[in-house]
Amino acid sequence: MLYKDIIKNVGQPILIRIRDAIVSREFQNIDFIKKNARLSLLWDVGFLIEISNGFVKYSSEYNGRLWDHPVVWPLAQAEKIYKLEPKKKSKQTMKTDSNLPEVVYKN
Amino acid sequence: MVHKDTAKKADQPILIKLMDAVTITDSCSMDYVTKHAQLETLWLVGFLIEINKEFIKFSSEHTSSGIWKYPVIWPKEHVEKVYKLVPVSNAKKPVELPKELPRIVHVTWGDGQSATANIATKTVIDRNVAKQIDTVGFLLINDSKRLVLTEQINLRTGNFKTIHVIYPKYSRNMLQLVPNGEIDITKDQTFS
Repeated sequence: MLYKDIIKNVGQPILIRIRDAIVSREFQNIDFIKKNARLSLLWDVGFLIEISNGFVKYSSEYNGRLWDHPVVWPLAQAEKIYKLEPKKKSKQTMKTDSNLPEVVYKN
Repeated sequence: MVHKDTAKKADQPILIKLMDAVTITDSCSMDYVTKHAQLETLWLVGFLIEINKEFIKFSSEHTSSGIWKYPVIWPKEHVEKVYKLVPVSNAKKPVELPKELPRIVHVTWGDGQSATANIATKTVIDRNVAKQIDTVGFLLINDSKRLVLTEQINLRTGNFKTIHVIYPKYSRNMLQLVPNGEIDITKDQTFS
């Protein structure tokens, strides 16, 4: 499938940097909790469904009719949203984080 | 939201003293196993869902859509005590507890939503409010940046399990609760 078909049939692929709390479900001491129970930055990818009314909505899986595990996240908790496109189309690539693995689309 | 609304909507908040086996999933020596593979007394909080002949069922998180997050279904014979939790101002004769136990609070707050099922585009677009959650927990940290609650405490080790982090700007209400009488677990009880 061509990139323009993906946009038309599924939606704009995005890379999103969001804030969420990261904690543990195992027994931990108070030092661990003080250090880790806080806002952490996460990197997510997905197809953009909608940005409106203070929320960004996206999902990384679409089966032609339904979204699998869609995310509805407060915009205030989203730090950056980048548009994703095929490497060969990209004229001026944004610098993100060198530790991030490659982002791919698989039909 | 007042306490009677919570008890009606998310059910009765409870404090539970129960016994669980504490083990480890890594390889360890016979000395470690001899010392640690034993019954431990834990303190938990949650909203009571049901007590029947064999089990007690509860959960510390209830969402506005009526879904329980990580509910616990525990054999009744491993439960030592179940206390009814009420707001401090409603408690006529609070039960005395170990002083090491932190304060217990009920917080109503809003969070982003990650669905756990396949959902149609229209349904996703129609979701325009944060998910409202009722959480009951032991309050570990309360400052301008975060409220940190835990659901389980092991007083022997001083460790905590199942942590909820709530950002003050998303919390709508925080109510301190205290135990006020025991719940008779010999009788079947269903809430909701």
